[in-house]
Amino acid sequence: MTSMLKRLRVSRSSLRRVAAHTSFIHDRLLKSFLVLSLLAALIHGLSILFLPHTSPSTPSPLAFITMFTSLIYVIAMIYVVSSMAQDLRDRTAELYLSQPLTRIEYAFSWLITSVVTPSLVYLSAVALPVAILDPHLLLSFGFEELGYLVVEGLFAGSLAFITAVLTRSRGLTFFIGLFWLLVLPFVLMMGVAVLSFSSMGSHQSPAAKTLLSVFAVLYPYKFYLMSASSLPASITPFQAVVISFSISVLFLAASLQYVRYRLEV
Amino acid sequence: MIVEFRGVEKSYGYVKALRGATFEVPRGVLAGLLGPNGSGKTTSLKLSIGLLKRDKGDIKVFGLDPWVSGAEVRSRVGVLHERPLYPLDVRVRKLLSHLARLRRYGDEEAYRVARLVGLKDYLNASVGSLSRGYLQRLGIAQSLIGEPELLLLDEPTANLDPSARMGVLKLIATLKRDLGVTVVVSSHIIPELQEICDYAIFISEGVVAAYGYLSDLARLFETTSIYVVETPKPRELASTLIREGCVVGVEVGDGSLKVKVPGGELETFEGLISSMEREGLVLSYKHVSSSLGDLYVKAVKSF
Repeated sequence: MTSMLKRLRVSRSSLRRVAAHTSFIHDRLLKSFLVLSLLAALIHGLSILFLPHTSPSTPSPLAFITMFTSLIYVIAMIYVVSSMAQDLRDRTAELYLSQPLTRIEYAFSWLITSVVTPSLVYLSAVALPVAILDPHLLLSFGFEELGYLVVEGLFAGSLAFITAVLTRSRGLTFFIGLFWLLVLPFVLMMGVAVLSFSSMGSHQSPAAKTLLSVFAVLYPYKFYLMSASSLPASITPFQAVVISFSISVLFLAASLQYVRYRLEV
Repeated sequence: MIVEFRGVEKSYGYVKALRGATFEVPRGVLAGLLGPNGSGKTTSLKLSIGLLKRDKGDIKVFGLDPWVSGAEVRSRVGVLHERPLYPLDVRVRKLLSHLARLRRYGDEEAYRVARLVGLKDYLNASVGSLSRGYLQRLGIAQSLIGEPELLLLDEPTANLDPSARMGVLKLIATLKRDLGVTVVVSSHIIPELQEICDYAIFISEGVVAAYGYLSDLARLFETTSIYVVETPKPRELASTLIREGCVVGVEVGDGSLKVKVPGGELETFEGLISSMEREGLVLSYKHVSSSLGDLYVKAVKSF
């Protein structure tokens, strides 16, 4: 009983420290978050006003706008994670970790700031203008789409997070994040196109199918939007999003384990 | 003992930073952790608060393993790192308040430590605008948050001009005297800690050559020591000591003598002074300091 009470007290003070450090990091990055949310909200507000609307069964034109504005969201995520890498590299982390803040609490604070906050900020930036203009549009916009979008963002965030923790390099974190975001999808799709073309234009090429499945796991939201154009792949968008989510969780769990048992500053 | 190292080893890749380091720090001392650059001082301090993980050996701080119970250890320890890096875009008040909050203290604690080190006029300044001297004060201020029982100061006078250096050393001595904190100060400039230390840990190339109270080390390595002797008859005592030939210098003060005793004469001197104490010619005597430089050289040579 006593040990349970002690553990409860420890976890309460642990939560308090995570909250304090998270709020401190948020304060420092407040301007970036404000710019991100305003920009995304503006683009979405304008899109709703000017784009025609389709039936709920197909991805709406707004979804394609979201695909582009999600770039801002992912870049914000990578930026925050790379700030953590910088914190670890330039020994600013020493200052905080010399306080009663544990390594895992420190990493959690950054995880919340880099993955959870940008997701919430972005989702509200997408949903708020829609809800303000017409709350009914929220239903037709589709929560499923948002789910896919968040999982894709989570994948980017977790990939950047594990890179930052293992390498402590801001540059490399940024490079990997941006490569995933801007280069890899085109490379993969180009590969799919080349493989399909080399097998006489047949969409049934096994290599093309495999490559498309890799694309689906890495970019479940984009794959979900593209699946409307009936591209052949070995997996469904739902399977892709589940695998993608599992890999993200694995990345994050591995990062936290590393931080807990190996991180030295 | 507050800090205990037993056969601690730590490597960075192929570089061995600590090679079986063994030492202890008792409660209430102002200990100098002394050695040249790269001797393992910073590594020892970081291991003490669980920022680094030892490869071998045993470390106990307040009886706890700092790598496992880091938060508990650090809640009782204040640390100033060597060349610390602060977030430059944050105001001094904000940074100190945040660090105080991590220790479950409020804004008033931030104000208290800022006042203690003479930073209260800079609370609204951004950290990036502070001079080196004031950055060092900020470092000391943050290490004092929550009145820690143990202060670990890594090269606190590094990069400071002579007057700022004196100011910091004076502040450390005051903290120990007024707050009763146990302090471990690391420095590669050995003579600068001469006036404030009463305990020393000599480290060289990752090996602890010797550790202990300065009086004990002076006796062990037979180095010159300074004693203050309280006496009702300072002049009479001074001439007796000179006559006996066991001192190399005597400064006569009001009701006291400051005596310089060479290492080889320590036993004779203490025997003589004890007998005079019994006769009433000496009221009390205290070892004040020994030449840290001499002690270091002899300790390293003897190892």
